[in-house]
Amino acid sequence: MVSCTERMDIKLPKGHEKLVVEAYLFPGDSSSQVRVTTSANYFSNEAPVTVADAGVQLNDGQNTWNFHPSAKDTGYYFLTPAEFRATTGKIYHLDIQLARPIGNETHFESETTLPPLRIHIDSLSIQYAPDIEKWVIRIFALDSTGKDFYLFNSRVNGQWITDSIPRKVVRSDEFFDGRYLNGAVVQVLNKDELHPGDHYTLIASNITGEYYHYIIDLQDEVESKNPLFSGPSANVQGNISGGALGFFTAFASTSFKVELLQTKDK
Amino acid sequence: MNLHSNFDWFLNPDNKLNFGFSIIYHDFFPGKIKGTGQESVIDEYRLPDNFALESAFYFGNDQKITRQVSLKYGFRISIFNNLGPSTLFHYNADYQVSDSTVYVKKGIFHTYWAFEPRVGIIFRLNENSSLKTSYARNVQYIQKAQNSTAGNPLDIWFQANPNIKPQIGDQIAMGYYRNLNNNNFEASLEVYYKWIKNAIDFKDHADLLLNKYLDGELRVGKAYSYGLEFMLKKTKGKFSGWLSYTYSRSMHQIAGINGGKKYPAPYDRPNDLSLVLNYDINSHLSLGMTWVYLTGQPVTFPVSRFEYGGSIIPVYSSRNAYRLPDYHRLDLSLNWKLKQKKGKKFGHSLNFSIYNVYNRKNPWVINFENDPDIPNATYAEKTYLFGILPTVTYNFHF
Repeated sequence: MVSCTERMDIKLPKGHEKLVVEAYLFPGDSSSQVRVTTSANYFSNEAPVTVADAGVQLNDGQNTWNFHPSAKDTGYYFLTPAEFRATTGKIYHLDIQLARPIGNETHFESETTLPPLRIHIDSLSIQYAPDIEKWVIRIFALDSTGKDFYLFNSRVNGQWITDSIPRKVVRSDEFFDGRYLNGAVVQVLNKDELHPGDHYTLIASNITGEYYHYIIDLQDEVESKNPLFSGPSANVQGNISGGALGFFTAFASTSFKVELLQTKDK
Repeated sequence: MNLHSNFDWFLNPDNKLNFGFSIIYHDFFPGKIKGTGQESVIDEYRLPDNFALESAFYFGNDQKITRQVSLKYGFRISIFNNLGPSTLFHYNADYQVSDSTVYVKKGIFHTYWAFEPRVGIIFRLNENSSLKTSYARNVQYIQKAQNSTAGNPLDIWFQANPNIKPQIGDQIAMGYYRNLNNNNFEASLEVYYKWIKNAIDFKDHADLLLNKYLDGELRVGKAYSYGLEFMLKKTKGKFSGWLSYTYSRSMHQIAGINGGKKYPAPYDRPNDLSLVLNYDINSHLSLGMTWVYLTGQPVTFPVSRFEYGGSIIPVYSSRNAYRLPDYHRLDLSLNWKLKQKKGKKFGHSLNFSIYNVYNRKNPWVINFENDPDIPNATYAEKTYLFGILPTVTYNFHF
């Protein structure tokens, strides 16, 4: 097959402005956070416009918490661990009130629950695969019986490596429910992202099925399409009301940190 | 497994009967996955086979009514049985699995049947022209689970069942045919309209691979298509070829897709023009030319974007609301029939061709990518196949 790829100029229509909510609740030592921005024209090529004057509130049916706007990062709203830690099994209701309407709406809401943390990593291995010039991270852990969805992230020397949707690894235990993961590959890092002496941290989280499907669908849309294998392009359904985009979720994480002492060719 | 029998019975000079039956036993293997190596977390995961029996009896007659009028009519009776053992999943209004029924024993647990009539009339207006009109109903019990715009080895076949009714298509067509200039030219003009009940499509972001709840990924609605086809053909003389033009539309309307509004089918190409010309220079050499033009394929483009998880995410228009640039290309060829020894069956020829002579970069797909060099920037990128392509082919027969 002979094919070529080249950039092209194309004129796209302008879409309607929509609210975007990216919200996370955590049970541990991380601050729960909500980021509120707006959508933009496709070729706007600028950082998203943030919404700095929203009222962001959380309640679990008994208690209510008000997120604080960040002084440093506009559009971000926080609850510190001292103020709030998510609890497994509770239903959390997020409420956002805007000063000006976006998409003809000023009130948006969503719900989520915190799934239990069921993954426990016994060990992990890091190997450099010279044939693909990548670092391959494998885990040794038991998958509990029952439906589980996982999210895997990486940090190197405290810096996030999986800082974009295509880099995140999500897995459903459909094909290995209740089995021991004996060296399952959970992360692949580029050659220049890890060096001897670096501190590598794998963060494994149990996520909801809805969030799992959201990430899978996002990955489908940010990766290149191939008419032979790809389905039609389609918007990804979030869980925010009022036609807003984005997702509200909660998850607990466990991390496993190692220092890379020496490389080992596979 | 397939058992088929067909009979032709020339009842009399004015009636030719055709009838027969077919029985097909289907064994659908949806797929399996097997891990290899010690580190694999999967032993084997296999979706259970599905079984069905598809039977049909058909009868037709080509009847000459008068010298000018002929009738072609008939019917097909089809029966589709779902066979056990099988597990049938039941879905609620949100397409979530709510229950299941397990059919342990072999045997029929569900049946569909259909009467599929067809009729056609030919009016011979004179020696050189005729008018045809027809109607046919077709019922389809087996669908291909294809979510891409092109077929690929991952496509899965699945059957009608209590959750998925068979597709029913009705088509009417009419055509006018005329020979011109002492049969040097053949011309035809046809129109058709087809409508389909229980048309299927997949929901957005359907999960097809190794999914035992495949029925829940489907959405059902209706579809229709119509068109007009014109052809002019020259069959005699050194100079031959044909010109064809088709205007057609194909639309779907399926609840749960595109907000329930109508949208163009992936194969909706309103204008389709082909020009094929051949010129015999002598008994050994001939020139050929083909020019094709098609309206661009329907596509879904982004109309805005948002940021989530550190990535720019597109927000799309309605499904298939836009089109790729129109497709067209010119091919030229020279065919050289090489010397054949007298009395020998072996014959050979050389063909020199240039595909896509003016190197049109017809897009195969347009993707929208994040610019790796400029933060927050995106761009459009097209992939095209086969620019100008010269070829030499050696053909032989014996």
